[in-house]
Amino acid sequence: MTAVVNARGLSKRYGDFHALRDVSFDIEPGSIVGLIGPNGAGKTTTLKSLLGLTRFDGELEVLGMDPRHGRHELMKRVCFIADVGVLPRWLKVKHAIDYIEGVHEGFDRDKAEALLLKTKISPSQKVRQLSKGMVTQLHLALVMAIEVDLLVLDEPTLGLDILYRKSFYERLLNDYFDHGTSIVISTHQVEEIESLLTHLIFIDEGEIVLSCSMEELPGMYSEVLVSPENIEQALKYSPIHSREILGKRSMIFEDVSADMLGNFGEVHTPSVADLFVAKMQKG
Amino acid sequence: MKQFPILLKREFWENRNTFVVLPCVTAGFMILLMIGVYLAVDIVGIKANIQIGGDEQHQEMSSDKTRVNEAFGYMFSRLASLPPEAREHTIYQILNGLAGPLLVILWAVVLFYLIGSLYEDRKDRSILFWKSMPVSDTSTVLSKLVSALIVVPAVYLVCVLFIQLVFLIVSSLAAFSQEASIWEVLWEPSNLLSRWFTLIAHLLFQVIWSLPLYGWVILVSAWASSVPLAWIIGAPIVFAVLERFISGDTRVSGWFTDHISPVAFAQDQELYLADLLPKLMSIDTLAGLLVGLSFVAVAVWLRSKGDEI
Repeated sequence: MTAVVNARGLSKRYGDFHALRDVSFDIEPGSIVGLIGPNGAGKTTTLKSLLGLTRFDGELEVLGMDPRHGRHELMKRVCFIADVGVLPRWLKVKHAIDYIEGVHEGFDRDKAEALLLKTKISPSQKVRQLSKGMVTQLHLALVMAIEVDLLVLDEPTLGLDILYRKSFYERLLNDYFDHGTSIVISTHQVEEIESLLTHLIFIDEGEIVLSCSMEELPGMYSEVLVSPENIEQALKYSPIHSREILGKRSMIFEDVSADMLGNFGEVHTPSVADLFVAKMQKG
Repeated sequence: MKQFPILLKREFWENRNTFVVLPCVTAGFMILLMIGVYLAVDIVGIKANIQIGGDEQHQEMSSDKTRVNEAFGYMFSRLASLPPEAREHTIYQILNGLAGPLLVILWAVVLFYLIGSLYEDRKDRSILFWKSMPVSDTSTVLSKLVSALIVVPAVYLVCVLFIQLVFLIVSSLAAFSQEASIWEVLWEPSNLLSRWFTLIAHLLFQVIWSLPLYGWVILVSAWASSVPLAWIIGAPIVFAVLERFISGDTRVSGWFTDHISPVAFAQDQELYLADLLPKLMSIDTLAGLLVGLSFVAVAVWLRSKGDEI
C-alpha cells in the first residue's frame, strides 16, 4: 500500500516568520502518528496543510490528492477535529447528525447515536448548552461515526480535565483502532498519547527534529541511570540530555549501543515525554 | 447538488428567528393591529372624518356607539360609491401598505444575514467544523445566496399574502350585511392573483437587479477580518470620492447606487409586469448580473483560501 501522506519539502512563511522549513515525512496506512512539539512549533500549520486549509510551498500528497485543490473531495476520505470547541454554538445535536448524514456518504447515523447514548448529551440540546468536555465528546462521537482513511486531531483535548482527556483517548482507541484508519494527533501533552502511538514526529521551529516508529525508538535512544562513579566516563558518549533524579544522574543517549551503556548503569528506553524534553533542549 | 437541501436547512436552523419567527410575529402583529383598528372604530364610533381614497369628500358620522357593522358599512359603502379605477387604486394602496413593513424587514434581514454569512463562522472558528465536511466552497456560498435571495423572500411573501388575505376576509365579514356585492367592491378590484404574481416578479427582478449589492456584501463577508459592515459601506464611499476626484464624474458609483436602491416596491405606486420586462432585458441589468456574479465568484475564492480569523 502507498503512503497515506507523502510530504516533501513543505515550507510556509508568515512574513519573516518561518512556520515550516522544508518539512518532509510519510504516514503509513493504519499508523497512529503523534505530531509533537512546543507551542508555535508548526504543528497546526502542518496539519492545516494536510487538510487543504492553508497555502504552502512544497509537494504534498494526501491519499493521492493534492489538498490545495478540491478540499471537499479530500474530505470524503479525511476528517478532522481542529481544536476544542469549534462546533457552532447554535447547532442542535440532532441537527448536527442530520447535517453530516446529508453531506457525508461515509456517515453512519446509528453509530453516532449509539456513541452519544454513552454520554449525557441529549439530541435536543444545543452546543451552547454543553460543557467544553461534552462538546469534545460530541465532536468525537460524530467523527468516529464517519468512515474515513485518515483522521486528523489537532490538540483535541486541550483545556479539558483529566477525566475527559482519558476517556477521549480510550474511546478513540477502543472504537477506532481496528478500522485501519490512520490517525494523526498533535498535542503537547505527550504522556497521555504515548501508549497509543505507532509513530512519532517531533517538530520544533518549523523543522522536523525526529521522525521514527515506536518500534525503532529503543534501538535509537537509551536512558541510563548512571552511578556517580561512571558519570565522567558516560559523558564521553555525549548524552543528548542529562539530569539529576533522586541523587542519581539520568542521561539520554542517541545511537549508542545499549550493551555499551549497560556498563554505566541500568538502561531502559526513555519515555516519549523525556525524549521530547531532551530533543527540545538540545537545539 | 444532492447536498443542497441540507445546506439550506442548515441556514434555516441557524437563522430560524429572522427567517421565520420574525415575519410570522410581524404578520401576527399587523393582523392584531388590523382587528384592533376595527374594534377601535367600533368603540369610539366615527366622530372623525373618514376619508377614503383620493376622494376629497368628507363626511361626518356622529354616533356615540356605532356598531362595527355600521362603521364598516359606512366605509364599505363609500368604497362602493367610488368609480372602479379609484376603488382599485384605494384597495391597492391598502394592500401595499399591509405588505410594506414586511418587505422593509425582509430587505434588512437579507442584508444582515448576508453580512454575517461568511464572517461569523470564521470569527467563532466553527468554519473549521464546516470545512471538515465534504462540501465545496461553491456549494456553501451558493447555499447562503439561495437562502437570502429565494428562500427567505418566499417565506416573507407567504406572510404578506396571508395578511392581505386576512384583510380581505375580515373586511368582507365586517361588511357582510351590506347591500353592495362584497365581491365587486372588495375582491374583484383587489386583483389578488395578478398582484401576487407581480409582487413575486418584482422580488425576483430585485434579486437580479441588486445582485451587485448582494455580491459585494457576501464578498466582504468572506474577506473582512473585522467589522464587515464598515467595509461594506466604507469602501464604496471611498471609491466614490476617489472616482469623483480622479475622473471628475461618478459614473461607476452612480451605477452602483442605482443598483442598490430597492426599486421593486418603492419607486412606483403601481408597477406592472409590462414595465418590468424592458428593464429586465436591458444591458444595464445584464451588466449588473455579470458584476454581481463576479463578486460571488471572488467570494467563493476567498472562502476556499480562508479559515478562522
